[in-house]
Amino acid sequence: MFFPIAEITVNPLFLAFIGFVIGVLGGFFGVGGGFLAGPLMFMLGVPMNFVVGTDLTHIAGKSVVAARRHWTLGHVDFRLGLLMSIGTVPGVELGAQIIEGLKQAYAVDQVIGGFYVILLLSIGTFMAWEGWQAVCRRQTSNDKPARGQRIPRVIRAVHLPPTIRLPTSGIECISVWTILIFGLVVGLLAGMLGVGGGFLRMPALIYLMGVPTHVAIGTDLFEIIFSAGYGTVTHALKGNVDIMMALVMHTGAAIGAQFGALSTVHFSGPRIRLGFSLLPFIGAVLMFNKLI
Amino acid sequence: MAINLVFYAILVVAYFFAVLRWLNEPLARLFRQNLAHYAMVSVMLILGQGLLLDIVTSSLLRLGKWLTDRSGN
Repeated sequence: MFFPIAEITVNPLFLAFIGFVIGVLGGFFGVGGGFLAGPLMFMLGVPMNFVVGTDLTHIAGKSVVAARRHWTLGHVDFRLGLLMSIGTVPGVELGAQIIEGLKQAYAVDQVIGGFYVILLLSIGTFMAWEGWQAVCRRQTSNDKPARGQRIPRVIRAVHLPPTIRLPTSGIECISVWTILIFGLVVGLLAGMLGVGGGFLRMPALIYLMGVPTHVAIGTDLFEIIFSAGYGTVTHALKGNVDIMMALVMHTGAAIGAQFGALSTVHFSGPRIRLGFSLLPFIGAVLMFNKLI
Repeated sequence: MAINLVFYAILVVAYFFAVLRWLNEPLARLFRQNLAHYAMVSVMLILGQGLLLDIVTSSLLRLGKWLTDRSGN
């Protein structure tokens, strides 16, 4: 089928299938899956600027629903999420401007593709390491990785004014600048690669700031609404969003998320994490293969 | 639960083909004519679809629970 906005012919069932796979990942594994959707869309021949914009758009649709669920459970730290968003939005814009610059230099596929490969290899390595550690500790799916308290203590010790208290996250005092800089970096990645940034924000909230895992997940999803929502608008204004592709992918993701959530009953957490660590490596290989 | 899921999948696939059939050309026209309007419509469509599918999911889950409770009694 011809998609007139991106001016490309793609089988919509393939797009729905990509959505389904990342929906299963989301429901099963708790990640947005943008890091995998990007390489797969690029494999189908979608231009990289449309990969970035469209991926962000479909993530925006998913995050609203997921954040709403976590909000009802009381797992969202609104102050932390809103503060991070103030840093994230300029970061997303900066990322989108970089894409524009690369588009004009006709280098967007090579540069962003190369960056993707490095990032996917890093994520895969981290997931494999974390999953292996958890399997060795014989944890169940309900057990979370042990959190080191040394790094959060060091980060919270930076009392550059203004500072803020975040009771929902159990943080007595933290510099607002720390949160803003952190949001900016994640926003830059989101705007440049079309990912929600959850794979980076989640571990950072847990391991660097010491936020409890369930609050980190809810706050991460809440924050993605702003980063992906703003990313959708700014990339759409630059002509980088094929909303039809995003809608098709999102329908697949909606079904996949239900399957994923249902499947978690039958598998234990650490082995799932270890198994899924293969996916970023596959994504990296697909991307590298398309680039050469 | 499995029946709910199959019913849900059928609904979503029907919606999927309806979207492809009715929205492709009008959205492409809007993309060519006015990018600002296109950006606004894009955000509303993706958020609206997210909420719509969530409502359908929640309703089906409630229906499934009601049917299970009823058969239990």
